[in-house]
Amino acid sequence: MREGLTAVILAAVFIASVLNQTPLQRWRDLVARHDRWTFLPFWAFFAPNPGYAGTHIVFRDRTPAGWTSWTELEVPDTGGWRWLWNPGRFERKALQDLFNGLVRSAQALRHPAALELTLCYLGLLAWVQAQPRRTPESITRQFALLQAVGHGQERSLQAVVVSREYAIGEC
Amino acid sequence: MSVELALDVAFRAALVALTLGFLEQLAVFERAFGFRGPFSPAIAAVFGRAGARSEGFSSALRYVVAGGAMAGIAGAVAGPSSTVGPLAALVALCCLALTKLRRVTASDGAEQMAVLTLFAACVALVPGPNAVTATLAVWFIAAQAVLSNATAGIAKALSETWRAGEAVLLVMGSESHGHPGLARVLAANPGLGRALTRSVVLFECAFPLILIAPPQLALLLLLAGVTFHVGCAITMGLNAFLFAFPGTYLCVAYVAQTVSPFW
Repeated sequence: MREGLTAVILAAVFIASVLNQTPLQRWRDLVARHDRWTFLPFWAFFAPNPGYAGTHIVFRDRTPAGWTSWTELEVPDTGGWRWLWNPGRFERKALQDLFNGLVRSAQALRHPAALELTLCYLGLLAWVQAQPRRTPESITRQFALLQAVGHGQERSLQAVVVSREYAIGEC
Repeated sequence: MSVELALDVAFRAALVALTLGFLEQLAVFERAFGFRGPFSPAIAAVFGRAGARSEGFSSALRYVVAGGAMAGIAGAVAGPSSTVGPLAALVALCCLALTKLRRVTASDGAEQMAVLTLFAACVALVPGPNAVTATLAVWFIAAQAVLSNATAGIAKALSETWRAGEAVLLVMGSESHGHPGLARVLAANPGLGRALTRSVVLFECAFPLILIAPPQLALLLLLAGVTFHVGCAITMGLNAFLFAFPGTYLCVAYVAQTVSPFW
């Protein structure tokens, strides 16, 4: 009995894992609805398009005197010991996941304005809005997502998303 | 190669990978899980995890993450054949599930492989050891290892960037998983970049052949896998992968020993 049950459970999870590697949209929708813990894996590491750009969030506040300068929302950098100890990887991956989700949504949406209603956009907005005011007079905030390619002097930056203004405290 | 040894190594390696993650999350807990971080209550609520927003949950979460780390250490030390080991793994999995109520994003392949390995081990070993269920768990872990490499290999082989041999240079040039020194070397030696890129595709696509290969070739592929993950840890910072994936290799070797006509 125990052996049979174990075989059924493990076989079911493996078959579901195999299905999860396929582009079946109905399966993907089902998994997205029910697998909140991302238990089922998707194993296409760095393919088809390897991530070659770093993602950054910058924001600025509007005050009665005008805009402040852009400030980067700090996401920890990697250290020399990252092959063993890499605590910043979770925050960097969070930013990357939200950004990738936003890009996927943007490609799927018919109306660009609807991007503001996607979960990833709202997640990024909540993150930005939680940062302290740049000045006590700050009224509204705007953020932008930048992609950086390359290192050092050869690094180039490109704005991918520039938000509208949001009242500070609004989310 | 015995089932017990294969499961033992996979179980302990998976717990090391998870424990490393728990300890790293503890190190950045204030910043990452606080109300200004990416795992804040507000962001969890955006993703429909309203329960994770409560004050009680917030104050308990640090202890959940710490509990996961302690359970992971206890399980990795005790091993799967003890009474404590599988129960500690169950506790670690529960702590991870609770943590992910708030950490909606930032899951990675190493965490998924560790979870699948421990899930199989727990299904097989709780409430007590059983030779048949342990063998089933080893087969399951090996199947996931083969599936992961085959999927990654096929996806890369279908990608123009990977086929053109440009991917490793691109990744090494990135901020998130790159290595400026290696990126410079690869930019100066395009042939090396192409060779590395294609060898990754070849290795991942060839991985399933372990199951039907002679022992020497299987061993060579598994050693190539360990080298690959050491390289990824050093150059890309994929530290947990170093434990979660090579940890499954003895399970793959066990299955190869069973099914390959050459062993």
